[in-house]
Amino acid sequence: MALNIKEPYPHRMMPRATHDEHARENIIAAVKHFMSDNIYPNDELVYEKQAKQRFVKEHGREPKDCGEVHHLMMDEPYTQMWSSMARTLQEMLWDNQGEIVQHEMPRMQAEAKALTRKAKGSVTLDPDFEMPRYVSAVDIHAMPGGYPTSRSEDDLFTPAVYDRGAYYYTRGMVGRWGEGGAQALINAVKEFYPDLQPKRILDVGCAIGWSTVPLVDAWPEAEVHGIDVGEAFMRYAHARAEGLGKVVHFHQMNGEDLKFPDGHFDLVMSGGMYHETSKKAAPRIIKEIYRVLKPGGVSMNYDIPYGGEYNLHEQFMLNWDCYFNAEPFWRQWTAWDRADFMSWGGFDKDGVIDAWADRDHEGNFKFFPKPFDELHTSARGGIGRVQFFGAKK
Amino acid sequence: MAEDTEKQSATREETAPASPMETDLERIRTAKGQRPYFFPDPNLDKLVAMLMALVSEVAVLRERLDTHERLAEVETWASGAQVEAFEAPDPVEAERAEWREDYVGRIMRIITDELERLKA
Repeated sequence: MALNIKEPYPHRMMPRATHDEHARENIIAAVKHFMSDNIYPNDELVYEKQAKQRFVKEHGREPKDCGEVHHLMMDEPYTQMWSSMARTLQEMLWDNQGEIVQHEMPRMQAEAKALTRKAKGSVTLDPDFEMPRYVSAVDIHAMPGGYPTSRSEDDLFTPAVYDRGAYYYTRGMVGRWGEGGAQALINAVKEFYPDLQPKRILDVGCAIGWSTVPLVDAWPEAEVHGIDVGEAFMRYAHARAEGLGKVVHFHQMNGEDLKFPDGHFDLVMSGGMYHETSKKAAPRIIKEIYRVLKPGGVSMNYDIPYGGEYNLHEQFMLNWDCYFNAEPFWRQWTAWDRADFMSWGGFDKDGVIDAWADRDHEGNFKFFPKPFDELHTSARGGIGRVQFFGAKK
Repeated sequence: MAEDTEKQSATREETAPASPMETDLERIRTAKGQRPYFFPDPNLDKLVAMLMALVSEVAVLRERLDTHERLAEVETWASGAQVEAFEAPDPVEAERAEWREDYVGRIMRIITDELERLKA
């Protein structure tokens, strides 16, 4: 079936595309989809039938690690061509969104003002905030301006580009409200911890609040908080949540140094955050999460999958984004066993739950029991496959 | 939240950048960090980028023409504003998706052809 993505839900902060900008979104997504279906899965064929033989001839043995496979494949014309296309498609996607947001900015700024005037939720910015280097040195996933950029008190450029752009990046897999990941996470919490009745919930690294907002409906009695590093992101997240009529409290804050007391939350979650933090920061964040959880509280997370048991070529495909799509910490994250990681924060290693799911183009998740039964190399960048992991304090 | 499926594109009228207001903030077009190149000659990567931009613009033109044709079924000539206000119904979206799939297949033929030879 041809890819036919619905436009993202037009909440009041959502940038609105013109006819041609929308047509551009569709064709970029269609080319990306073709690559995922037809080009990436066949890289392994090129490896097996061409590249590996070339390597064996030269070295008298097969490649022994994914680094060798990486160098080998990056010499293959087939891999060079799709890589060049993949990188340029990423840039085209963001640039088209930049065009949309640029003409939408005045409307969005006016909306943000109107929406936050009578806000039920809140946003707390930190004028002394120190931006962590792991998000300021490189614009993550090659999104111009990245997470840190905020050029004025009402700058909404990068979060607006993210809201509409990341939806098309995933080709709709996050759901029309960006709610898909959170819905699956909520299901996972309810399934694994049916007795948990959270009164206070925290979303760490919440970006524009895609995963934060659905928590409000899942646990209507709970007080919901979200934190992230970007000032413009928090401002946009706040206006967006108000536009959707959901009460959320956003804070500009670093996950390595949470400004909440010990034992403050019943549920602390994250969605797609760890792979964008550094080798040093991620263990600090999980320690902080452990600290702010009540005894009996739950940490539940989803992110790109652990790649330790993938074969060498699959590891190369999984980690392509680390080298070429400005995801510098991606490879580190795919290398860490999740139970080990949770235990560094203080959680009992034996109590760590691990669940895998694939998502479709409408944001629905299908959980499956054995992650390595169904390898998914076509989803370069792990776009379709998600790993859930969590533990109780 | 899901009650609003019908409203998906109900705001196309407002979609046109009707406001004369402009922002003082510049559009950010370059991402911080090194840009990777994949071919021995980086100009080849630039050609790929230019080609993909053209692939995209041809599809945009095709979709615009399609909108004109759809509007021509009910009106004689469509203005820019009418094109902008056009709401593609679901069957039209589906037909366009099919067209895009075929179109991308034609663009990528040389690569899939190579794969077929490798599979043989």
